[in-house]
Order: sequence, then C-alpha cells, then structure tokens
Amino acid sequence: MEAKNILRELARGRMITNITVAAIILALLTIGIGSLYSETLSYYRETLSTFMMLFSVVLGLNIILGYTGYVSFGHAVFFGIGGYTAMVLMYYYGVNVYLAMIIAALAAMAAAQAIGFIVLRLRGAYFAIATIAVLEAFRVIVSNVEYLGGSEGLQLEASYYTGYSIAGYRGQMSVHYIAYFLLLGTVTLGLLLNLYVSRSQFGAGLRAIREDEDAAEAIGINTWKFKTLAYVLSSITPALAGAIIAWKRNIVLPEEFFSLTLSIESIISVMLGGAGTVLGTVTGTAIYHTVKTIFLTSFPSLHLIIFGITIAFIAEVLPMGIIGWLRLMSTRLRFLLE
Amino acid sequence: MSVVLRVENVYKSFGGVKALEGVSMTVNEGMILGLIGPNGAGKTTLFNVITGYYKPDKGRVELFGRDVTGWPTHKIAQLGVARTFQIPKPFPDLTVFENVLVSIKFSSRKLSEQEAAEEAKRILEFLGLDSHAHMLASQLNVALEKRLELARALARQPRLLLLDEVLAGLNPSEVAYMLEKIKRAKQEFGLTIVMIEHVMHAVMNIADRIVVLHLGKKLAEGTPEEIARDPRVIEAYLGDPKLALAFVERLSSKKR
Repeated sequence: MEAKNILRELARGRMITNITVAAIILALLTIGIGSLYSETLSYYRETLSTFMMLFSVVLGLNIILGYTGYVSFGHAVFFGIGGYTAMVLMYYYGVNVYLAMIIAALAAMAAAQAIGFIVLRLRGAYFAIATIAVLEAFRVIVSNVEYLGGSEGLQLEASYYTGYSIAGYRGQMSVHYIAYFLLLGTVTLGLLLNLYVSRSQFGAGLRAIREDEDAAEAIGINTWKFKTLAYVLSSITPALAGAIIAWKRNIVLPEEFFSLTLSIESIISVMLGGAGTVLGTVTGTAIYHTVKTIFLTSFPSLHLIIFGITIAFIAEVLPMGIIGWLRLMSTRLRFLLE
Repeated sequence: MSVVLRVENVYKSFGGVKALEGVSMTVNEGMILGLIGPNGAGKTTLFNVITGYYKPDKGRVELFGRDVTGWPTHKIAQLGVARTFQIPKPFPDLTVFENVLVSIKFSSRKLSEQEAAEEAKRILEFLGLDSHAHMLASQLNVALEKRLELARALARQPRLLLLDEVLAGLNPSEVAYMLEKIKRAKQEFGLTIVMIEHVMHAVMNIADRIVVLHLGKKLAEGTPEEIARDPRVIEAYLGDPKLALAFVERLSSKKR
C-alpha cells in the first residue's frame, strides 16, 4: 500500500470516528433536552446518567490503561478525590457545583501527579497492585477523618440547592436534569481527550511506552514525562464525574466514592471494547452497562456474577476487546477503526 | 576526523559482580568498531552505560564532544544515537509500518504526516520489509525481527548507531544480507557504527577496528588482522592458547 493511500484510509477512519462521536453526543443531548419536556424520557435520563458516570471513568482510564498500558486498577480513586473535594467546597463553603467541579478536577490532577510520582515507577502487576493499595488507603483515611464526615460521609442540606434551576425546574427538582448535562459535558471532554491522544504525537509516544518502555526510551521518548502526563490527564473526567455525582446524590460516602467495584467495572468496560481505541470505550461501556442493567432488574442478587463471566469471556475469547479484535481482521479495518 | 564517542575509564558493578572495570575506548566519525568478547565480558553493559540505561559507577562517557555521563536514555537518543537490542524489542502489537513510523516521529526531523509515512515506506523497502509492512511486529520471525530492529534504529537517522548482536541467530544468507545493508546504510546515512558481534567472520569482515572485552576489562584493541593473531584473544575465547592454536589448526586442516 502506498503512503498516500495509507493516509487516505487513516483520514477516512478518523472521519468515521468523528461522526460516531458527534452522533453519540447529539443523541445524548437530544434525550436530555427531551427529558425536560417529556415524562417518559426521564427513565432514560437516569439510566443514561449512570452510563455517563461509568463512561467518564472509562474515558479517563483508557488513556492510562488503553494507550499507555498501565493497568490502573484503582482508578476510582480520582472519582473519590473529585467527589470529596467538590463536597467539601459545597458543604463547608457553599461553593456552586460548577466551580466545585473545576477545583475537583484540578485537585485530582495534582493528586495524580503526586500518586504517579510513586506508583509510576512500578510496572505490570506491581503497578496494578499499588493502585489498588492507593484506593484502599484513601478509603480508609477518608472513613476516619471527621472533617470529611468519617464513615457517615457528608450530606448537603436541601437548602443548598435553592439557587439552581433549569427549564422551569427549581431547587432539588432541577438537580437530576442539570447533572445529566454536566455529565454529558464531562463525557464530551473525555471523548475529545481520547481523540487527541489517539491522533497526536503524544499518543504515539504513549503507545510506544505500552508496547515496550525501554525501546520507547531508545527512540528518544521521555517516558517518565509522557506517562506522568497520561496519568494526570486520565484523572480529569473521573474527578469531574465524582464531583457531579456528589452534588446529584447530595451525599459522599467512602465506600461509594473510593469504590473498587467502580474501578473494576471501568476496567471491564475498557477491556471489553478494546483498550486503546476510541470506539472501544463507547462499545465496551454501552454493552457492559446494558447487560448489567438487565441483570440488575431481572436477577438483582446475581448481577455481580456478570463481573466474573465478562472477565472470563474477555480473557478467553477477546483479549483485544471487540474493536481490537475487529482491527486484527484486516489491514483496512485497522486503519478504519480508531 | 572528529571523535563521536569517547568512553573513559568506566566502572560498573552489580552487587558483587564487576561488569566493567576501567574500560576506555574512542570511536571516530565514519568508522565501524567491532566490540567482541566472550559471554559476560560486559559488552552489553557498556552499551547500556553509553545509552544511559545504566549510570556508570566511575568514569565518563562523551558523545559528539559533550559529557553525557548520567544523562537519561531519551536525551542521549535525541543527540542522534540509535541502538538495537540483543533480544529484539519491537513494539509487538503495532504493525511493522507503525513501528518505524513512531521512530521517525520522535527523531529530530520535522516531517509532515505524508513525508513521515513516505520515509517509513522507504526504510521498509530498503530492508526488504515492505511486503510485511502491515503485519503485527509480533508475527515476524527472528530474521525479520532483526531487520525491524535495524529499520527502527535507522528511522531515527542517527549519527551513531549501536548494534547489539544483530546477526545472532541468522543463517549464512541472512547474515550476508544484513552485512550488506549495514554497509549500505553506513554509506548512505554517513553513520558511525559500534557493533557487538559473535559472528566472527562477519565482524572481522566489516569492522575497521576491534575492541576485545574480557571479564569487564579491555583485553585488546586493533585492526581485525591484529586481533585475529593476538594470542590473548584466542586464549580468552578458547582457553589455553597452545591448545587453542592446535585446535584451530586441526579445524582448518580438516577443511582442506
């Protein structure tokens, strides 16, 4: 294949991804606006909010796990840091959710820089275990700090919400709607970050690190700087989602915000769709979330079984994930599926 | 002629193992230096010290007239140094084309995407890898893997190329092919090359100068002819020089 044909196929692939991403965002936006005026759509608003919460963590995780190859097993730590930072600001200082989100994201980025300074020295399974340890450490510490509400968490008063309104809904009535759009904004940012990583020189460097870190150094890549930046970027959307969910649920609890379950769910979603692909993040999260929702409603006590089944399925049949597997089918698909 | 690489009195030990004990050498521009020595002599350790994977305990490394002792690997690479690995380290889940492309992207050249892709094609053609361009690197056999290592190193358009046993495990025709490519690459890109090699006839054939390492020390240095006749070298490789010489003579008489 000639160089210019390769570039043409790549450009075509990028166009397909752009259209898919735009379609997803538009669809979510339409449903969100629709739910403001139609009662029947409010069920979808809630299930899609849960989907977008998971998707926000997945989009962050994909940068460090998918592109850089570092299995951040406790990635919900940034969800927790975001949630708690926002809650402290809202609870003690009455800060509005928008500013709280921004500060939460900055706090998570600073935390990622600091945590990364230690854990990014480790590779492979040791890194994964260290990130679980970090998550657990945060959970235990937060449970024991009175300022952060200890194991009871912090809860916002109903009066806190009086200032919020959207399309005629006021106060607490407006929260679920506003949260939906904030989550959509977070997901949009996450998709843009993933597209940037996928197409930039920075992302090419991350892939090289994933494939072989020593060889990546040998071709002139500052692997320490690259992976630290990847880790910092990967903390943004989980933190934003954490802040939004804290505000939406009006409470933060250590087990729910520093949650190993959420960490594992996001790993499953990334792996199922295809780590290190943009389309895979959507595919994996959508499938996982749908299956989980069906199980939760039909067999509530058994739904955790799908964890095990999905992990076994991925490991045995689709180690590259759905999109990753399709990309292996032919050279053409490799170029077309980003 | 300017000095590309100067290693001065380098020491490196790992726990109780003294891998390098006061090694010095100088590599001039445009030369091919062969680095030989028995297993465990410290050849790869020396490469790792030069490229910044290891910091020497003592001594200094100079590249292109700059003291780079203790520099990180990527900064040394950015000076124009490329290397291959003894055990090939391709990017396994990237295609052959992508392997070379990423190397071009991180070289000092500023190329457009189109130019970079064309350059990648050109290098793959040069090493006869173009028909495998869209295979995953993990699917290559040893011979092709070695070529990919060389391709990825050349893609950086380096000034100094460090080859760590690129001929190991190849059959005679593949060895001849690689030697030919290394010679041509040297001419086309104006390279200076240091190569670690166990395939004696190859390194004797291609190198301008040879350094022999033995147990972390420099045992001998000279032209290939001088080295081939040096009894210390024969001893290091084969043990007792008298026995070794007798062995070599018997071998060559059998051939006749």
